[in-house]
Amino acid sequence: MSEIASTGLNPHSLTGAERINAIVRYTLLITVGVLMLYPLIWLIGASFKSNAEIFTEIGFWPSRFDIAPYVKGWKTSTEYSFTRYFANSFLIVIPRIIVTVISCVLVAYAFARFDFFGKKVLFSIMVATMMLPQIVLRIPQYIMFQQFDMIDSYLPLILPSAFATDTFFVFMLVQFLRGIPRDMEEAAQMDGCNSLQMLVYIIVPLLKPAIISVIVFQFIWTMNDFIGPLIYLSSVEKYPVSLALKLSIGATEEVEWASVIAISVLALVPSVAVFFAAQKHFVQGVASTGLKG
Amino acid sequence: MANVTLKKISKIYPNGFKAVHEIECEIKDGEFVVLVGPSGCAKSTLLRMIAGLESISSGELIIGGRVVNQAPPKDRGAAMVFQNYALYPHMNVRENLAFGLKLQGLPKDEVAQRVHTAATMLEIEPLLDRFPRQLSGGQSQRVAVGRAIVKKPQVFLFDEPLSNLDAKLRASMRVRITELHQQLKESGQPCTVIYVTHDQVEAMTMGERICVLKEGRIQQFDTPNRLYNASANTFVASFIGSPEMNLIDATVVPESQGKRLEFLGNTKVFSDSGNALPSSRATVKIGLRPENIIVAPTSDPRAVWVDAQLSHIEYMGNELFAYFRANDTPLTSRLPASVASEISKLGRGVSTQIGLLIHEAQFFDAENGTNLSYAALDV
Repeated sequence: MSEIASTGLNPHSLTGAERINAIVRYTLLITVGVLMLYPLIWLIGASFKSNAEIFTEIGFWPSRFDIAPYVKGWKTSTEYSFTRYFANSFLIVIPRIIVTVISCVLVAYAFARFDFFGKKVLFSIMVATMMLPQIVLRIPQYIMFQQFDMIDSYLPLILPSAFATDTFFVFMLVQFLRGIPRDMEEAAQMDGCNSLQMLVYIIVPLLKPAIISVIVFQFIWTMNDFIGPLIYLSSVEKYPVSLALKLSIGATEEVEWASVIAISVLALVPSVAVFFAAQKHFVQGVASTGLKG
Repeated sequence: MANVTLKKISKIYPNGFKAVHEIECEIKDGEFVVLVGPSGCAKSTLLRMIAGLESISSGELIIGGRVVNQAPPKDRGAAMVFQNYALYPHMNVRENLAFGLKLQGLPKDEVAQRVHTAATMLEIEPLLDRFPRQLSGGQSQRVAVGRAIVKKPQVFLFDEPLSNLDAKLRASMRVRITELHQQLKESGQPCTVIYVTHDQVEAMTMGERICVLKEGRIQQFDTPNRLYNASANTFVASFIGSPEMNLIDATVVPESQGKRLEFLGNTKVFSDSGNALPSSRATVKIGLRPENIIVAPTSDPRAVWVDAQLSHIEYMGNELFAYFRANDTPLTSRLPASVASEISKLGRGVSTQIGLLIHEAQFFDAENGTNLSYAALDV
């Protein structure tokens, strides 16, 4: 066996130098990986600790595993539990994802596949808005929604996305579409598809990996959005998780950090879950770039 | 009935480039026509214009007696097979075949029946539930043809459908497509085929008539036989046939008894090619097919023997191609394998005698390359 390994005939066996090399590389990678993940590991550990323990112990391993902070944090000191706040979050996230996907796909389809007057100029303007800091738009947008009488509703958080204002997604979809050969669309044209049928039957299935990326990003960004709900929502019953979390810090005189941290951990779960659920399709998206007819 | 008539069809791109120049041709119902030419000759553009994927700048396109310039692709009664098949990757083979029919709103059982018929004809039944990514090149090719057949089109358009296949498969698919055309004809569903290729072998073997294109202009639209033996000009003559036709510079000198032809240094013959040659002193090109150059022991009383040096031999098994130089003019000869032992005795650069069968030659104008005997030749 060692003879085979040293002659390199068996690709799975490593020679001495290669083995040392591999050990060094993996040690380095694991160290950096743990270093990056440490805050998250600490967060999970700290959700079981008492206030005193959080501020005195450097290690992440708690002295006891007690789900009391989770139960307590979930109840909150307000009249609503986090069940309500999570439901609120989803009431914002799900409609927003739906309108984002529909509007962005439509706009990207137009930019990638149709010739119309002023296309180049419009596209550059659209890309330019990507550079614009979001905060610049807050005041005019607030005034606008105030005049529409939409303050303290979810509409200001959802409606802009219905007009493809998430230009990053449009840009991403356009780039993806440009990479797809047109033959299939021409074949569909010969088969008798009109522009809309083409979009539904051909383009959308081909765009699937890109659309899944849009869904994942929009989910995570909207779930974590703090400033948007803070500006537009005033009634506590409409608060999403991100605002409710802040509420649990300010509500009592002495903050129960374990509960806050416990809910933070739970608040991370949906985003992480969505990411891992979609991971397979990210990989598929990369693989299908070598699309064979 | 689906005659396809092109009347002064032109294509001018927005940047002013004129790709297709006033193409005039008439394709008869049920005919198998091949558009052939080197890359950039606008053959694919022309096909796409017929399909409706490319707009027509000027002229008239008539399919089955109807002007279809403005008609969308689906209303032209044409089906197309694309070079890289363009199967829908998210649908299985059955759905790929049925997609166009479903869009037409045909009843379910008719769709199923047509898909079944086409699948049987092309022997792709076992593949119906597979996805395009699970198919080999040849299988994808057949599915692509099937997708066209199910629609029962009046006109079949093929855009270099075999160029992504390996040589062996290409040869067998060539036969299949020709057979399919016959099969459809016999089954009472005759359809006109317009087939684009850059491969002259495909063109010669498949086409009932071949349209040779160069830079957006028709060079010759004729039967394979006439294309080979009565080429309209030097372009067609050298494009058709492999190895290429030999073109030899020559001078015509009129004399009292007839016309004297001088070429390859000081070789002189009296030409009996009659009236084709100009009657005043002029330069021409002699077009001689490789099989019209012979070496000993083959002999022909009418051969004109000249000195030449052998530069290279290619063995093909049943025959061989010998490349000579005579008076600095490269000449290619197609020889039977029986002379292999003779010719292999000759070394590189060794002089020998080669026989030119001038009586088989075609003559071209040295200036513009047109065939001087074109009108007279009737093969």
